[in-house]
Amino acid sequence: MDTIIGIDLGTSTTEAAVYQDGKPVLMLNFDGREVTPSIVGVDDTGNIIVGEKAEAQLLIAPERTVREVKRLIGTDELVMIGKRQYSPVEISAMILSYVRTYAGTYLGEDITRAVISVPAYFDEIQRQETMEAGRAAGFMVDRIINEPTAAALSYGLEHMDEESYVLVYDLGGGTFDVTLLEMFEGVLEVKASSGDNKLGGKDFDERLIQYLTNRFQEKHGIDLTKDLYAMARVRDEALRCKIALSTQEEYTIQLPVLTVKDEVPYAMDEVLTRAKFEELIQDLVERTHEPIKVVLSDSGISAGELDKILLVGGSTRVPLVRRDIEAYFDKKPEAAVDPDYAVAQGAAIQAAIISGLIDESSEIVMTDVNPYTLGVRAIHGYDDEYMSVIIPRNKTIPTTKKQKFYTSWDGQTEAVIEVYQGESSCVRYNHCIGEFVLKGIPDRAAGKEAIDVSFTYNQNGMLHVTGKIVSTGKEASIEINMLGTKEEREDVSDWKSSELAGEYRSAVRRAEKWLKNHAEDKRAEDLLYYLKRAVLEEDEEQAEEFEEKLLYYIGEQQ
Amino acid sequence: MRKDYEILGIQEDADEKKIKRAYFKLIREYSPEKNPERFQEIRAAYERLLEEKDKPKHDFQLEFPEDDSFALSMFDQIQQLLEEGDYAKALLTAQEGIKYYQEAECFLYMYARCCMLEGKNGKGVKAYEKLVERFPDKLFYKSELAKAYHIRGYQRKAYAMFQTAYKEGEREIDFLNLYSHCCYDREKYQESVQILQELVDSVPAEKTNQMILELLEAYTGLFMNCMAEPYPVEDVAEKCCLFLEQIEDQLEGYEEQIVSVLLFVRLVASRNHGKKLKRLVDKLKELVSEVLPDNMPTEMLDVFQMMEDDRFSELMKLTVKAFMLLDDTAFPRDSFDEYACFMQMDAFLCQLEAWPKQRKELDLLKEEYPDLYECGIDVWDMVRRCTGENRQYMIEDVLAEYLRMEAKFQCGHYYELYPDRRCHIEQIQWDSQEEGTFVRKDRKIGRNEPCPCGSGKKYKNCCGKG
Repeated sequence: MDTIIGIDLGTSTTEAAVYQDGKPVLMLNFDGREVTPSIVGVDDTGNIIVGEKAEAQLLIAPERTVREVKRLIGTDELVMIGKRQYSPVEISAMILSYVRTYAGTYLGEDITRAVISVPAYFDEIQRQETMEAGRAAGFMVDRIINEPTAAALSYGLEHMDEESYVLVYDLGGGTFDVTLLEMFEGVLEVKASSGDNKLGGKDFDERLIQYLTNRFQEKHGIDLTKDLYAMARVRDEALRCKIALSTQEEYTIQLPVLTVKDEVPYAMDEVLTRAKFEELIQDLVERTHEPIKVVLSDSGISAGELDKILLVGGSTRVPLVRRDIEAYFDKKPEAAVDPDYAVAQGAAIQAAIISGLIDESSEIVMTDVNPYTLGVRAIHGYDDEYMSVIIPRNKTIPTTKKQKFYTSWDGQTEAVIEVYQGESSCVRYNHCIGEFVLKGIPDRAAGKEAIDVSFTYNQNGMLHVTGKIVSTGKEASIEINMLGTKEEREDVSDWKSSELAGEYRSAVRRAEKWLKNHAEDKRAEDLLYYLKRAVLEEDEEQAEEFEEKLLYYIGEQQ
Repeated sequence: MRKDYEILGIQEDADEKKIKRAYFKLIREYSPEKNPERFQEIRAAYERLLEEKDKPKHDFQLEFPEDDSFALSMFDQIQQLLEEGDYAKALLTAQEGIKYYQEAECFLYMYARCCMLEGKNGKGVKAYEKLVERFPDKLFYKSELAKAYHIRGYQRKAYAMFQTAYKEGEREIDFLNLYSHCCYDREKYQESVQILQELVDSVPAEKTNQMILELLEAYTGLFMNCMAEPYPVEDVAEKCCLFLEQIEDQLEGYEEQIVSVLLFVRLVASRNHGKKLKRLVDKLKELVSEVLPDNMPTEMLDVFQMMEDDRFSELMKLTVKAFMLLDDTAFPRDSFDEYACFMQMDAFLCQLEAWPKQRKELDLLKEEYPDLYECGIDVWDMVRRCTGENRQYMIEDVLAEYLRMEAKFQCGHYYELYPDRRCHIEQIQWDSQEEGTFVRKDRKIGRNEPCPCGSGKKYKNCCGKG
């Protein structure tokens, strides 16, 4: 059996662990450290460098170095390093590939399998891209595991005989996650997960930087934000300041010759108190309350019933965060796990469960939940964009749920089953993750024919959707890989070469123009792609269908 | 249900702790990793049992045909169907069971339940009557029968049955709530209050968060009763205050209930106990404006206040009510039905006829209840704009559609206020047919423009339909 390692691919740092001799062990990188900064750069000879080396050149060559790329995962944004642009997936793959080499050296074998952790509240696309990055780095990714779940696993392994409700509060560099688990004699059951994809220690830094540059502008009338080198130094110092303020009441920022204007050097000299810092981040910390509320109400457990609060993630070192938690729950949080290593350790434990190193019948067992609501589009009264929920969020997986739908007009012979993910009751604001058509419904009056729609969501994040006509037993289904590959898109850029191009040019142009202002509209983008593909394949019937759908969709949005 | 116990391998009297222990033990063996199919079965059984344990318990066991696995699986099937919400099919299956097993208790009970869920209340009542007759010791059936009578509208029988069940010790929350309703309907206010007070006191503090809806309803009932027959209400107010403080952070989704409590408390306060209720009113106001402002139908509060405001005429109040019905921030989307549309048309017509007499009131509304004014702004504008001949045309235009809908609902105020209009309409229809072409004086309303009736829907989906 190949060794499977566990990787915590964090916003600011990355760690990797492996299960050895009955416990998870952190592996050392080429610098002899457990922690690798999640920083990638190109050195002056054009080689890719990762980790501490890249961190070292952050101040001298910020244009050739990139950090916090995890925050961009799932977006189309590209990052410049030196002369070339890279996608967030490519950069994440570089970090993972670095991990793969050092893990290989550490263990003395080629490592090809891994469990990678992601924030619990990462959505569909973000998970897929993380998986893609893993594959690009040469891993077969056995599982994507939620970070708080991983942290709880590493806690659970050492507290096997507890019976308790545990809340994992994970405030990392870039994301906030909160998960509630029930522990019962070595079985870990995740009850609910929630979070905020864009909230973390980096936001604290940003607030500090903003404050410092504003002060600088007031004092000297110089806008620092355009000066890449100065900003790199301010950023570096802000980070130092934030860390220092966790233990001391006051910190003095001194950056001599920060910038030069008209041949006069200007220095930054500021004293920052902890109180001031806390004032700057107060509202950010309060943003954690909403997800906590969701988790408590979804799991049906009140704050008073909680037995333990585990803190994970570097940002939980900020005293204000701890005070806030204590005030909210009226309970002191515990430092029972190492906030930096717990996630990687948990990922390694999950890896050991998969590879069979841990025996589930005598050791630890874990069940997880789906973080987002899944459903189909349905007509509901006057509303034809109603999200009919099939599997509600925070349901233990694997799970199968079935629901009946009825035809909505006389003589309806086919039903389009559109599968959505998201929390809105209007599908337009949710994410369409697949659709298929169920044909051959007997021609009868509205409401006389029923369709059974069943969703099966399995452990590996595969969603299997089946539609079945009750009266005839005819079925159609779709397999949606929630974690695996994205649909392979063909290159359709030369659709103009098709004979059909003339006919559909105006529709394509109109959609493209519209998409310029609605860049994040995935549905329109998908439809445009299908239209182009149909045109390229000269499939007139399909092209017509998608043209109609596309124009209708755009028309509805305006 | 029996099968679920079997799956988990436990006795049917197992408590929550035992169920949990059995579940956790089993999934060690059949973890999602090793045996996902079996895991799902176990999980589903576990969830069903926990849910069942959460519900108020029946202190009895159903009688099953002996040693018959077919009956068991049929029974399970009915429960499954009920869970999926397919009441019609569950009802059919239960009927089948009754036929097959000579009215075995388990199927008769299921049949009664399904009937009530399907809205076949008469049949449900009959079935429960039979059950009560056959099993006079089972209090549960009496309680259910009382509820069924109440829903069916047999108030006298319901009241008697409620009293019997109550005397025999039934104290389930829903039962008490409905009992008090029944008392209220029969004007036994004192009894109603007494029951509700007992209900409120019977919920232990740590359970309040699971009973929010029931308790809010109970408090509404208490204040409602006080309107009919004043009683010392301070104690109740005090308790209600405490309750609200306790559940403050879990109130999302209960906005409408909160508002209705506030409405009644205010009413009571305005009648007699102004000072004593101040704290509660303040608390409720705070909830409305600070804790739950996002989803709070504040306009409803304004409507309430306006209804009490003597400066407005009946006509104005009627119109505001009609338009508030269609505002989807105050009401769930389901209210967007034809009826609401009709009520609006009704109000619109009345306003058109009365103009400009109500101009002063309209200005007052705009000034003091801007939110309410905003809701009907299209209509007010339309009413203001339509002068002279235009107004006649507008009235006739809307009347054509109104005529059709009035036949269906027969409850508008327009004919009441302007009885001569009824024949007038028939005239219009005649005239326009005679003349052949109808010359439009007013601007034509486009299919996709907002409907002039003010519903906020597109014209083609509203008055312009068909």
